[in-house]
Amino acid sequence: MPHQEDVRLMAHLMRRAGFGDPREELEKRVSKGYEAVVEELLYPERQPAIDEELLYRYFPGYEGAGAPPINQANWVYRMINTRRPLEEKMALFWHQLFATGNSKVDNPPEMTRQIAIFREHGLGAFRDLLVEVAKSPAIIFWLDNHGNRDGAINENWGRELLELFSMGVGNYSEDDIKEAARAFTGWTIAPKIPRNPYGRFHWQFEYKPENHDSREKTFLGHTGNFNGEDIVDIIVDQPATARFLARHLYRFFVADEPHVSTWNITPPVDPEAIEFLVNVYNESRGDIRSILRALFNSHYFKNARFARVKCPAELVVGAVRLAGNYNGFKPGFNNLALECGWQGQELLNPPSVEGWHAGSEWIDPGVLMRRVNFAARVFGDVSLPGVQAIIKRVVVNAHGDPSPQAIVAACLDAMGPLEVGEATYSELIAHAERCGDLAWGTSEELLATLRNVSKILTLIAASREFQFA
Amino acid sequence: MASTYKDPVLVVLELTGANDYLNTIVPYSDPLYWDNRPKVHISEDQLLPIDDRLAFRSDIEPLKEIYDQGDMAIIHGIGFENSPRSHFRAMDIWHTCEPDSIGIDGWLAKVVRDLDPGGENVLKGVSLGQGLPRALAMKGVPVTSVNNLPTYGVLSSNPAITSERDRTQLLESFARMYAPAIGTGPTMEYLGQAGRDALRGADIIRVAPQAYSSTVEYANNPIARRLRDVAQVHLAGLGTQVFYTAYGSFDTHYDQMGSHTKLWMDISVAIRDFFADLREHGASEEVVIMLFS
Repeated sequence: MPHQEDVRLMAHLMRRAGFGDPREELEKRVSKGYEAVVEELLYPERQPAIDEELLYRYFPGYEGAGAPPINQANWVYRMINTRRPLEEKMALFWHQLFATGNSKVDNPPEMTRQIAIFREHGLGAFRDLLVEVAKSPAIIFWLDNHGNRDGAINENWGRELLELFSMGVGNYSEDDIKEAARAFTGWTIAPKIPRNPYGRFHWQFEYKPENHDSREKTFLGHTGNFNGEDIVDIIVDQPATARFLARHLYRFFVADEPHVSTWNITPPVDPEAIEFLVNVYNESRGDIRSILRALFNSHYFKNARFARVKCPAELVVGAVRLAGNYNGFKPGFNNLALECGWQGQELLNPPSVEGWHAGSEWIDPGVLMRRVNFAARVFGDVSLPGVQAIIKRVVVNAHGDPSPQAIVAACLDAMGPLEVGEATYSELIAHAERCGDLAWGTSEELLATLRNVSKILTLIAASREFQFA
Repeated sequence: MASTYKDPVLVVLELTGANDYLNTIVPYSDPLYWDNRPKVHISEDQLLPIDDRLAFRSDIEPLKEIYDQGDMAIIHGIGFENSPRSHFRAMDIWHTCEPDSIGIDGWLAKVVRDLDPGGENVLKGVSLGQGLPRALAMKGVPVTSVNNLPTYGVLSSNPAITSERDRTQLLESFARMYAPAIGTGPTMEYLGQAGRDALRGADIIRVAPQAYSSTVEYANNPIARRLRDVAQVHLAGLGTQVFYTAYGSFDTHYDQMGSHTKLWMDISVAIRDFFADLREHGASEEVVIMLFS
């Protein structure tokens, strides 16, 4: 039996670096050792990718789908079924940082291609990722860079590149924005001929030298005949950039922080942790894999259990991964994708380029009710294989110790391991006391046991504590 | 003696993403409009003049009718000094009315608090849509946020609940799990408040769609459907005085003529249908709808 504390730590790592793991998976990972698992996560390419041929054979409608929910479903399928949890989690991290919304882009397949960029480049050098993002047709359209030409500057992309994608407000001037915009003139979209006579044009990046402003620019104190990549090179060497990325990584992986729009006047909740990440950024020249390795192995991370409110994708995907009812090719991924939207996180369509407001801002009474109802429905459903596996562990445990305390402890362990406060604990105990002995000799006894335990699982899923990752 | 007085009701419709105002209420006699907007303008044959200076764009004709009946006011030039030119900061300011500091409390939440200082009616403020807007968010002010009106309720359609006794037991447990407790920290306290508000609001609001009937057929667009939900809750007489909903995206920086037109066509017919519905039920006089961007 692995040490309980190791299982708790592994559960924490997998909730943050992925979308959670069922109890049995956690035990397998614990046997490999924490640092080895971190390395495994950091090199997703060493694990098999989602088999796209097979995916599109089962879901022919997914490939190049025009409807936004199908593209969301495609992503949710991957979040649930990936063997590369961190790759998918980083795709979500970059999606909320480089927030691009289909409300304006109106090209869902292009949004799906942008997420693929995050998968491919999300763990490399920040510099390379910024260049790839700058060439992403979805973001070019989203921030109007296709209308940014020599003599007709559109500074939208230049502004967001500095304000929301790299440095943060207060670290550059309005002139720097204009100069950055000038350097990105001519970075535009070339429509390809659609595959069918009627259909969407698939965009691709195109550099048009005739639209590029090739005169001298002065950006953040540097002067030269800069093009877009030169601007990115200057940006990634700025101390503000290291700090900005460190705060984003901290907020997404470690603990809730105030929203990015307040960072120029609100200090980090843990300045020491931010300095630590900034140092790794500087030492590694902005290598994201190196920063994450340091982060996951740090005591800041390990001690921050349940310090973040789950985002809707974490709540939804995490619940069904434990319940095991969406493993493989099944109908219903659309509904899961829509559920994320109803809980306030419409994938591929964040409310603005500023991304979602996270932490307790995910929660309001209506959303809380949705989150509670969704998770409680999953864990209250004894027909689901993962719920049956949880109940089996509880029953086996009750065989040795049938006390209500032992039943509740086994439920919390099998669903996480999770930790709950006093108010929740005493309600769980009250329901465990109502269960009486968990018997399974006859089919009636078995049914009663399933029902009784499922009510405890329902209550755990409905608790405040379950809202945290 | 029966009183004809009804409490006033405010419906706020946010035009998310910054509406192009000069192409909504067009200053058509001002040469600066034509000089500075050689391409992104409303052509003269597409204008419905209000007077010799201003005109509506023609695709919002239903709103012009409301204006002509004297039921609409246009307020120009609302803003704040020292704009940081960031959309997001600007939206923060609109939602908090705090231009000089980072505000936390929503301005409409303060209205709700003043209307219902004891927080007795969790339906005093109702948001319809995805998530709660910051304008309605304030610690200690319970409001209700509904995404889907017909299926609203805590632990609804749960497979573990097979009898009314189960439901009662679990909902009572839920209420105790979310009860106020000292020393749990601000986020846990906030979640507790949200859970208690959800429980209270759900029981009341569920009657609204059941009690509703109307001969008005709303236009088939998202904002029309949202305003129909507003009408249902208003007509159920639950004491709601502040409604909030949003439509967009008005973030139309480039190639905007088509998308901006579509947005205004949707909104215009939605508002026309909404007031037709309220008038049919004799419930329009107390309702004001405010559009802002």
